[in-house]
Amino acid sequence: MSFDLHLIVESLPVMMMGLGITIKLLIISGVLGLVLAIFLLLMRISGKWYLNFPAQMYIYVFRGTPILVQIFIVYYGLPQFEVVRDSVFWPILREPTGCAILALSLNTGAYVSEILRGGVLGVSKGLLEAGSALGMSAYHKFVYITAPIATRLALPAYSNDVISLLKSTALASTITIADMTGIARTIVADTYAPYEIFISLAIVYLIFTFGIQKLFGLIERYLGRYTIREQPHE
Amino acid sequence: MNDSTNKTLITMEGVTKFFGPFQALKNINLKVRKGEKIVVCGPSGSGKSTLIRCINRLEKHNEGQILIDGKELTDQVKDINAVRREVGMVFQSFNLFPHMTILKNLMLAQQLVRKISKTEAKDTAIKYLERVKIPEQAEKYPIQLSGGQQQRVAIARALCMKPKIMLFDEPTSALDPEMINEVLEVMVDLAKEGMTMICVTHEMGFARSVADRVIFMDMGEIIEEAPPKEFFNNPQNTRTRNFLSQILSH
Amino acid sequence: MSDFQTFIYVRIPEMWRLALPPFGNHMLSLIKDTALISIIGLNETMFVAKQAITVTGEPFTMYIVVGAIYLGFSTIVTLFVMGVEKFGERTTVGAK
Ligand SMILES: Nc1ncnc2c1ncn2[C@@H]1O[C@H](COP(=O)(O)OP(=O)(O)OP(=O)(O)O)[C@@H](O)[C@H]1O
Ligand SMILES: [Mg+2]
Repeated sequence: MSFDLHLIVESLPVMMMGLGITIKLLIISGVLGLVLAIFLLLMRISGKWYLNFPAQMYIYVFRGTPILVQIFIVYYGLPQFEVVRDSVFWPILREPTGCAILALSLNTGAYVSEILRGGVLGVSKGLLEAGSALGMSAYHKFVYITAPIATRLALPAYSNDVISLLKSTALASTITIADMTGIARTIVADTYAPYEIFISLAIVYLIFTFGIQKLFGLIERYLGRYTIREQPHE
Repeated sequence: MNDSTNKTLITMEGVTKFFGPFQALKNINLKVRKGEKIVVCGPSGSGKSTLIRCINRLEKHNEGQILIDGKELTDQVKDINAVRREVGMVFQSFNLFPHMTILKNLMLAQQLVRKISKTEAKDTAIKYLERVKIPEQAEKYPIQLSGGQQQRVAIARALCMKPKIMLFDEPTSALDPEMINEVLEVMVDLAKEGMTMICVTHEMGFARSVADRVIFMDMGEIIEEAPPKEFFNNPQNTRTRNFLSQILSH
Repeated sequence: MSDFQTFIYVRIPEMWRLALPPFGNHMLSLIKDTALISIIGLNETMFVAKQAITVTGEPFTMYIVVGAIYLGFSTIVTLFVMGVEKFGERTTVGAK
């Protein structure tokens, strides 16, 4: 079998035209998912069963089913209902991009809330007791003690989840979105050269992943400066 | 003695505490007047920590009554935080906020709880850092300090709230021997200034020189309560005698 | 104990106890990833669902059913892993 380098050189720029959509899916779903995750987290740690239980069910369902199924339910499934087609959300749900963003956000929100909860559970009980002993309210303890420390603790796992999300955006191509993977699939359909195209696509994702890892490495270093014993050289 | 020094700051009457079926405190009766220094000792698991943690409601007692400066400890959150403002606590494991500089550690609760302005909070913080003899560490993070220094910061943090009562739960047990004295010195100074203090500690030298009364606990009960001289020279209870012979032998 | 014995009697029991939770998570991901095979057209659950939809015209219902099937699988794996974890904990408590 021959490996057509020329084809790679030709199709890479075309695939990169989908980079914008991939980034858009990643960032918008990432941000919406994070907001959802924080809400779910607050419900989980509220200590009220009627908030905790629904959040737990939500997380169980969205972590227990494939993201592809979730994307299909939103994209193919929801339009089955008159109510959905008549609702104010229809302009969003009619578009494949809107559906992909919705499904990805709902999915990543479930995972990230568990990651954040891990961070919250990792905050030593003694620190909160110290806060209580100083007369701090529950709200102040959460904002000034739990949240910053939990953020730092959750960051490594969170960066993994962002990378998972990046990989999940590739599934958007299954509902006709022309992200990098979508474009690659079109090129493969035209050229019958899956190896060249998909391998170069994989390399693009790999570079992207590497960038995300580096970025989070920097954030971790910045947020974790208090965990280092030596005085920083200034 | 005049009236104000005679005022009772802490009253515990018939206090019990259960952890599930396990009874950690049994019928505790204790009165502490303003300016008194109490040392609490006893074997591991005897309920010393539980006792002082009930005083600022880190643990909720099950029966009996606890009054702090006339206010009864109940389930009202507002009241609890009002009481906690007046009661400083120092933990065995320091519990400094690791993500804040020493200065921020000292300023945080002043600003949030006492609603003191930033500049004033900072002045107070620096004043107390000088009192515990480490003003030069203000901009460092807790992890960059030695254990003894961290514990002195923890004491300063509690003092910044201008508490009426200070509780210490084995403040020197987590420290290397060479650091114990620097912390005890700070506590002795504090005692001399007339602070009302309850200290759980096994530093018997400290108890002898500072305490007005020493309390011995075993199995959730106060077994013996006496001025240090009496307590060490002529303990009444056999359990106290056994305990003292054990800890004084090494 | 020889190195080999240490490995068999200490390291391995210790190892699987620590490795089990992440391994369980990984099995879950794997099960869910089988859904992706439908994209290249093999006869797995999702593919069958697609075909059924062309007949019934009720995509929502069909995909919810598919989701429920996967959720069932996930639940079984989760319960199984939890059971084994409990067993692992019991042996460590006994060992103390
Ligand atoms: N949160 C808790 N849940 C259950 N049991 C507890 C809890 N806290 C304390 N106990 C139990 O209550 C008893 C008294 O504990 P406490 O911490 O007051 O002892 P202590 O005298 O401070 O001991 P030490 O010298 O080891 O600090 C112990 O038997 C302990 O196991
Ligand atoms: Mg204790």
